[in-house]
Amino acid sequence: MHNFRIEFSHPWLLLLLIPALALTLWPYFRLAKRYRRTRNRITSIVLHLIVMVLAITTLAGITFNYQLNNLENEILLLVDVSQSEDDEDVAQTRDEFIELVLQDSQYDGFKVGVVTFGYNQVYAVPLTHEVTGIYDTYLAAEKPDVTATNLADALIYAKDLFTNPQTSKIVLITDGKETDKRAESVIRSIAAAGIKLDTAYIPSDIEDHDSQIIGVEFPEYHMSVDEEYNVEVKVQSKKEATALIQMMDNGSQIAVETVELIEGSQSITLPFTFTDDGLHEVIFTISTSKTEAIDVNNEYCTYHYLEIFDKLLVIESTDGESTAFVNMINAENDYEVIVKNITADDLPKTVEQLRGYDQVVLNNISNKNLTKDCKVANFDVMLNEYVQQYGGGLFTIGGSRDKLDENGNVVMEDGEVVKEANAYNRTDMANSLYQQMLPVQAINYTPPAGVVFCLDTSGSMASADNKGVKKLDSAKKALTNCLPALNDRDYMGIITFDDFQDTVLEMTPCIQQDKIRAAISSISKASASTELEDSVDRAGQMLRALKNVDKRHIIVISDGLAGDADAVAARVTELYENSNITLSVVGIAMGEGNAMDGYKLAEKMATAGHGRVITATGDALTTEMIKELNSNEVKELELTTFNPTINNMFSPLVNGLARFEDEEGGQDIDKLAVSLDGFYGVKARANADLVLTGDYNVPLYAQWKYGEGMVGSFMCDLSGVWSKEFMSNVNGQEFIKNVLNNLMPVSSIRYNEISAELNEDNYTNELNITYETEYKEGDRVVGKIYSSEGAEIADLNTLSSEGPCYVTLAMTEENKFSRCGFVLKESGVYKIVLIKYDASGAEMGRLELYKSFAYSKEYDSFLMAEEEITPQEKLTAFAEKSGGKNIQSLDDPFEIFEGFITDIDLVFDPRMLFMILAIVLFLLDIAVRKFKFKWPHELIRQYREKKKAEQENNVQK
Amino acid sequence: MTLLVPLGLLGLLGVVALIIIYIIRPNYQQKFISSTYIWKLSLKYRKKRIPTSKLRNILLILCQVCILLACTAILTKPVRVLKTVVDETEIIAIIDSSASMRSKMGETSRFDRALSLAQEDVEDVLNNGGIASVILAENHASFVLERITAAEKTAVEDVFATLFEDGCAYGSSDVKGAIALCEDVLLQNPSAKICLYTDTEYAYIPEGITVENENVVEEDEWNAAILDARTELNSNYHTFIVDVAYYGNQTKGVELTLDIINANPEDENGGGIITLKHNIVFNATSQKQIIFIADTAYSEMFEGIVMEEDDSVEYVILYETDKVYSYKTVYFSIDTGADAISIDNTFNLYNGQKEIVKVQYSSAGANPFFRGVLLTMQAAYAKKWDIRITEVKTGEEPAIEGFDLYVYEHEMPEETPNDGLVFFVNPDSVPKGADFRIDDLRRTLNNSVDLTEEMEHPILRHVTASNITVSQYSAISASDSYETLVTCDGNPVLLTRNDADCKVVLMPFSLHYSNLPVLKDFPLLMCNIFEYYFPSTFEKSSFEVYETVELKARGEELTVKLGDQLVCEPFTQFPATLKFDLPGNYILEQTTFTGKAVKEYLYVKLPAAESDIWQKDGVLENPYKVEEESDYFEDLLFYIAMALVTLLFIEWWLQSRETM
Repeated sequence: MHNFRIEFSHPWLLLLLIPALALTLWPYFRLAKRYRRTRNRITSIVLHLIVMVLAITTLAGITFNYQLNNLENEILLLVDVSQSEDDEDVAQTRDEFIELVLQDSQYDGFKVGVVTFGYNQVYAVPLTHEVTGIYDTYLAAEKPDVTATNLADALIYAKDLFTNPQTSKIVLITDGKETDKRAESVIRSIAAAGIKLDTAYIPSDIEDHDSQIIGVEFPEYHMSVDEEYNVEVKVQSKKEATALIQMMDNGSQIAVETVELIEGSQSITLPFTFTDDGLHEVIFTISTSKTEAIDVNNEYCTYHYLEIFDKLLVIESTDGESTAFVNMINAENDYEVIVKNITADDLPKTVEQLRGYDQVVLNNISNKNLTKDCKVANFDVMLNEYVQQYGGGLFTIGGSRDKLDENGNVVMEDGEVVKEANAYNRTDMANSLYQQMLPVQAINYTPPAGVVFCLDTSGSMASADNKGVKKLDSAKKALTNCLPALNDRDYMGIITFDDFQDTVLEMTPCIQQDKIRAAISSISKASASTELEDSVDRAGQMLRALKNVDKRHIIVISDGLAGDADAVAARVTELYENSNITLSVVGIAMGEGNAMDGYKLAEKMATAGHGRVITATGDALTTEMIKELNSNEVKELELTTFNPTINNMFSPLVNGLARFEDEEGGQDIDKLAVSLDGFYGVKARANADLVLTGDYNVPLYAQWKYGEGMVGSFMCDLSGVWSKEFMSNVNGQEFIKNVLNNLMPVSSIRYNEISAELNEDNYTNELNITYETEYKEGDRVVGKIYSSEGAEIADLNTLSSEGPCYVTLAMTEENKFSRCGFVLKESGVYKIVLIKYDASGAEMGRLELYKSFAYSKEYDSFLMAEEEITPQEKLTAFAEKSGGKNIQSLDDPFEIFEGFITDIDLVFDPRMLFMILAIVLFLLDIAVRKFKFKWPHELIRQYREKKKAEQENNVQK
Repeated sequence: MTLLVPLGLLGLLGVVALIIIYIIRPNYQQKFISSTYIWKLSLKYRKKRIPTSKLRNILLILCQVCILLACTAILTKPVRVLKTVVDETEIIAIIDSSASMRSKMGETSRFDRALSLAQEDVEDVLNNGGIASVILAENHASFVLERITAAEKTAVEDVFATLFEDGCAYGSSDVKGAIALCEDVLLQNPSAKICLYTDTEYAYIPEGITVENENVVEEDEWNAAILDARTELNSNYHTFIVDVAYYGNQTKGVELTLDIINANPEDENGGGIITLKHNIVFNATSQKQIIFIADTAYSEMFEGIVMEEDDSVEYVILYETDKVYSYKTVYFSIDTGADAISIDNTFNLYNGQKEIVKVQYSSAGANPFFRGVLLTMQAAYAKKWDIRITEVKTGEEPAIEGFDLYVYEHEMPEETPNDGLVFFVNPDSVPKGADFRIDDLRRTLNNSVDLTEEMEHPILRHVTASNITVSQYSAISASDSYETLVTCDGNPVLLTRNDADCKVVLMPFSLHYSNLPVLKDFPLLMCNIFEYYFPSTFEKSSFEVYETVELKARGEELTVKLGDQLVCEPFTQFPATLKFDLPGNYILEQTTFTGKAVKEYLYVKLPAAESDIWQKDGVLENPYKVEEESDYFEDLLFYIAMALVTLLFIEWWLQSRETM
């Protein structure tokens, strides 16, 4: 009981006590002394006074008020003591808050408890009413594992501790950082139990400098021994700093780089080479000149298992077609190559058989070959599964075939057999599974272009050509007629030039043909001179502003150009070199008469702009212009000698390959030194890695990740038809070998009875295991985890709870050995070995896989910054979902106690007691007034005296 | 008067005791006294009148009896009943008025059923002498009936009739607010029962609240809705992407229709309506994305590729005349037959055709920097504005009307245009009405001086004035109507004027005498100027009910209409904030400072979440507090105690008179 109070509803009525006293005593004292000093009067007056007091206090509304604590309320402080909250200032803020909450809760009869948590939980202070001293108990309590934060498990743990969930509350005191599991998933179950969750955000952001390695990305494709590759090291830094990044492979430094760290995230590319195969335990370290707030995150441990993949299955459509290719790649017996014809009977008939090869090379294999000529049913489907599901490599090489007419006869032209694409035949390839697998589309395709026509409207254009038609009209007609030659993705602009340049049509999509026609029709003016330079300049600006085209081209239409030839040519050269804008000149009757100077200027401009000069009149003008516009259509089969352009300069496939040098010794770093004599025209898929191209980004070699595997497509033959020089050149050979190695699997794809998927969440790991053969009674699987030194550190068939690695879910018969869970906390590389035995104890299969662990996310000082919402918003959302609140001020956490009924107010109304007393005392008063009475001691004395007198009388008698 | 403790009447035994005292009191006392004493007493009796003395005795006894009666009365706790505790006779009906409650498959909607159930329950309570409150949970919860009794029963019918008539709201409901309102009622009657009539299923319902859900929803209800629609440009044609959702458990087919208004106006026969249709089949609650894509764009992306199966995406290939490169408005609709909510079966996409902004660039010697930056602006704002640039040829007179933006470089017009924004660069003279004076030409020390930013201004956003150097400029004296943004050696070199009838940006230096053209700050500055004087009225063209939008204007006044009806008083202060209470097509009208009357449209739709008629929610707040002792009675203690005290005074006085 506490807070006892005597309250009066009308306290002013207590003033009546004064007249009551006065009125009682006044008549008494008016009596003569001898009368008033009688026991009856004195007793009467006292009794009356008491009755008066009782009556007046009752009149004043006396009540006795007091409170009893409500002992049902329970508050559990769920305190995040993980490493991120370990900073002195942060811990002080947190502990001061806890102390304040405990202080505030000790007066209201709350049952308060404290659970501390990191990765696990410690019931630091069991729920108790005795709040005093709790804080010290909390401080002295054993600490949980602070190297990770598992909010979800902590909440579930706390939820089960309450005895009165309906009047309970969890106060989650944290920085919101979560490394394992997600609290969001358990809030609903907490709310459903009637438990409210308040959240208190303790900021753990530290101002000190920290840099960390958060991840490493090895190339997604297969890497080979002694080849140089680039590894992407993802680094984060709080401040700008100079850092040294080292890469250690099995204890030996293999790369080191000094980099300037920027504030925030960045990727650093380190070139490296593995000198042997097998397991590589790779450790990256970062060190800066500044003092680091956290050191643990400066070392990142990972692994790469470098397997030797060398078994190739080359499938050809014509016997002997692959001989040159095989000879080229296997001059040093690097590969085990099996060559088979697509029609052969001994082609792999199942995916399992196909998985016996590391890579399949389709040398000039068409979709028809795959689906119709092949004797193995659904070979394309099998191949798709081989790559997509199991991670096998696929390399497709182009090739031609004789073109057949409708009757199946070979088409001849000029006495020669006409060839058509076989492997990348557009008709054959359309809508096929084969096409779906490739990083290129074999389709009719023209790279989108932006074309600006600079039309001469000078006075001479008003004159008639040799056919009697006004040159300007011819030009306008040709412009209109050539419109269909442009496709939907193309843009067109028109500038007229005479004394001044005038933009008649801004860059307009060619689909707006009526608008373009109207613009062409509006061209009429023709004045004296021919000012070219300004219009070319303007055309260049218009094309530069256009973003979504591959080709930018200017076509100057004129009958005779004038101007400073060198200045114009220099401007055109600049446009080509800086913006890849090409320029051609269409001359109307150019070169006739005295216009040779103009023609020379046109030639100079076209040369500078990597275009050509066309001269024509009348209908021929239209034809020539259409030819000019169609010149960039990608043909299915293009016979042209070219040096491949390197589109992806960072690709390891082109590392070390010689670059093109012109006659003057100038090197073009974009082009390979080796040339090809033709290519098959395709379009690269949106997310393909386009490594080599022809002009205007036409793909020559592209690759992509397809499911688990890699697919690469080379748009030329490798049988020596167009690739004779390429195959005989060391750079060409090197490139193809690079391609083959690059397309190899990253891990073994051989058939295995056991396969497993490891889901990693910081410390927590789940292993889902599947088997090729169905589980039978008596089958058993033995699972172990070994350290990199080979020591067994966990038995996956037995639950455990201690050590750097312990098993939280054992692989047992009950779950048919299909899953297990384990916790791994120490940095390093581990080997997980699963062996399946049948009932007789014979080994059915074995799987070895590796797992690395660098450092707990707890030490990731950027973890919270990468989340979409701020920690405070996150905690507020948690609280709101459970009907609780996010505590706004850590100095005044009144919200915690809101909503609780802390005190039970009790009131005792003494009127009954008083009135009973009043009645009794009043009657006594009256009785005293009416009767003479003696006090008991007088009666006793009288009795004794009487007895004594009787005795004396008896003696006398 | 009610006696709360009738047992207190036992106090009357005190009266009995009093009588007994009087009965058994001795009539006399045997005393040995002197004769003089008797003589003295006899004198006293002789002086007093006997009848008064008797009366006093009677009064005394009466007084004593009354005192005992008063005490007894106090013991019995007599009270006057002010109100009675009513158990289960007060109801607070909360009616969810979210848009999903509009779900209607047959004769009645969920809202109607909720109203009927609520009305029935309210009337039942009132008929049994109870109290009833009704809260409508719209965007903000409010009482429609507050603690009415049977006497006001007629109001119930009126209110519910109005609710039936007005129908459900179009946004989300504020059930949390409604529960908070209940607390006021619960303070007065903690035993009041809360009934929530809703279609939402709650995970946690506090004790004391009844969620009437089962009778509000019907099992076979289903709804199809257009959740969102947008366009993308692929291969220069518009691709229309529509998100359509179905909420139900049956197989349903819906027909999606697109009416594209003023399609391809640049075509000779363009500008008409193109109608596209597509049938969608849903097997269960799911969402599908329907993509209407031009054949060329589709080929571009997927030609020759076998598309992987994805039930959530359907492509509709558009050929020839169905392909759209420009449109004004697209009306999307789904024909569902009869789904639960019809208002979410449509969606409108406005502002397909961009407003034209005419720009005139006039220069004594046109330079590539201005040309380039104007083209950059044209490309940068291509999604919102159709910027058309006209370059004045050398020797031609620049126009002083008919453009939205005038750029005069060095060579100035005679008069300042007043129908658009005017940008004077390196003026050689002062156009009439420009309100500034050119004092002299200044060369800076060391041939270049960094500029200084004088004030924070939207025009200088992301522009670092100190990066800009100027080696020569004109000293300007401008009127007070100009704001100086940037100075060079204390002289203004970038000024703006934003009067209602005159909008000017003045830059009194040549680009040739500055590094500005080669800095990224130049396009930034130009874009800032453009955005400052040509702000977009709103940033997106579709909103949800109860969403707020920040409105800007290019004129003095902006009028907002829903259909033909004014939504609110015209806005004159910008940015203004508007909240949409109703779905539909809103028209925003303004006359810009360039004198153009501009009409812009936006579409307000139901919140996407409300189309899901099978929503589930988490925790329902608990409004109940622990029941407190209320003052249901007026205690008569005060009056009786007052009488008691008075009687005690009187009795004492009387008895003192008696004994004197």
